[in-house]
Amino acid sequence: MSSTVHDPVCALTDPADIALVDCDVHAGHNTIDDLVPYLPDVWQRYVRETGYKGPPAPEYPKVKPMAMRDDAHPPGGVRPGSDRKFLTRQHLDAYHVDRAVLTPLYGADCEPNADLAAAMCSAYNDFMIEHWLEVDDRLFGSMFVPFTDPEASVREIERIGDHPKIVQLLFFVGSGVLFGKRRFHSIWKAAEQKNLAVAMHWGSRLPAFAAGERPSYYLEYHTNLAQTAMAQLVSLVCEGVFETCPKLRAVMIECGFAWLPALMWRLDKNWRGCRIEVPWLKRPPSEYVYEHVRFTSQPIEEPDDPNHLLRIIEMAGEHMLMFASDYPHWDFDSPTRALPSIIKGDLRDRIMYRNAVEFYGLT
Amino acid sequence: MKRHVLGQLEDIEDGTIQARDVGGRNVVIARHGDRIFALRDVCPHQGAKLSNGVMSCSRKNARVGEHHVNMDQPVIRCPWHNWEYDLDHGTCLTHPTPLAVAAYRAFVEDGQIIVET
Ligand code: FES
Repeated sequence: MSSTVHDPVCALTDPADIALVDCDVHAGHNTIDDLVPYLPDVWQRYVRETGYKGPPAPEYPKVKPMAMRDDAHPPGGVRPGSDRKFLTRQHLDAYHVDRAVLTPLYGADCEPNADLAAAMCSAYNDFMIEHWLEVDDRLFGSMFVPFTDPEASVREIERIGDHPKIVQLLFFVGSGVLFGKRRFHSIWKAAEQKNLAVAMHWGSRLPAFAAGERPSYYLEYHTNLAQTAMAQLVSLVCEGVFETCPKLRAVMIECGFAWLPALMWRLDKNWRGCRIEVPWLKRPPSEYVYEHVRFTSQPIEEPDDPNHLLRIIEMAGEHMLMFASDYPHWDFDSPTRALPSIIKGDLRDRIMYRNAVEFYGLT
Repeated sequence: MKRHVLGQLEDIEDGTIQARDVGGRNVVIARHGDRIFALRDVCPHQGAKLSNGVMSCSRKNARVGEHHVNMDQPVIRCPWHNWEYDLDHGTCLTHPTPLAVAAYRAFVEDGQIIVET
């Protein structure tokens, strides 16, 4: 399980001027008024007539308002992450972020009304392109698709998937579905054809269960979403997504990574006895993960002995981890302080920028 | 090389396995049509007796949603963790690193089962 035995999909040489890539920056809109101009007339009327304010809010109160850093609220009371000048000054410029992958957490794709979901996803995508991606060379973006309607999702990928600043489709890990299921394969095929990655980000807009029940506390919810990420990862592999789409790349964002080696040991071991169920897997399941999937670093695990973290990164493979800050959320990781100092040299460079440059093909 | 006569072919039903003592060795013999196979009767994983497992055929590599039996590759599945061993060579089909159980030359001669150890 080392980086030398698994050829990453989409390996490139790194551009000389990139030294920090932040793979999880939450930039986006302030209120639904920002998005309405991008909706077709019928949905503009719908918003006015029904008082629709957007997808449902997350179900748990967070430890801070909107789960934001206390110092990330821009002047004027707008939503953290919605004021481009403020975000640029406080984060991109302050830390010399060379490239940032924007990951708006909106949840339009989780709307139960599939047509509203499709309209809101398109509006959000167009808003992001115009207000963020096309105004700063450093910024790359994620697009939403209304995944409950795979045909509409493919149409949206066809519509904007060629945009040079869009690098991935974005989903909540807790979307109430397992994304490996066959009904979604047409979406992954379309993403593969456009060379877009598939990103699964921590979070949910639907009740997130653990062991069959909703946990009582945000503390539990926050921690348990790693389990949901595990389930999504295992689903993608076992359902043969990477056999059907051999060039597809996926990234798990904000879901932790220290669990990866143990999960892969367990999955490979079980596969040895259960292979007849999934004859399309031609290799041990972990090989698909180490080849096709990457993980972002935040919230970085902080064991008392940082050597333990280093050992786990080495076990997973040096190519697997990409730095992310999660700005402006309360559990932000500082680009200068998050990685322990024992992570240095080539490994540090890989995590801070090279793995992301290779994975996303950033220039 | 020692040659052991283990009785008549019809003593073992097609598609089944039997535990045999072959010159003091525990051996599992298997019949697939008119062919006979013999493997050491110990799983290299955690030591189960393979003769307590089941005989079948492997599955062909397939596209998602397709399932095809590979009639040309009879296998024995371990009674414990279900690892699959190719009866021809004793190779484990689901282990990422080479792993095999000892395979003995076995054949039918004049209606008799012969195993060489
Ligand atoms: S003992 Fe045979 S597979 Fe484990």
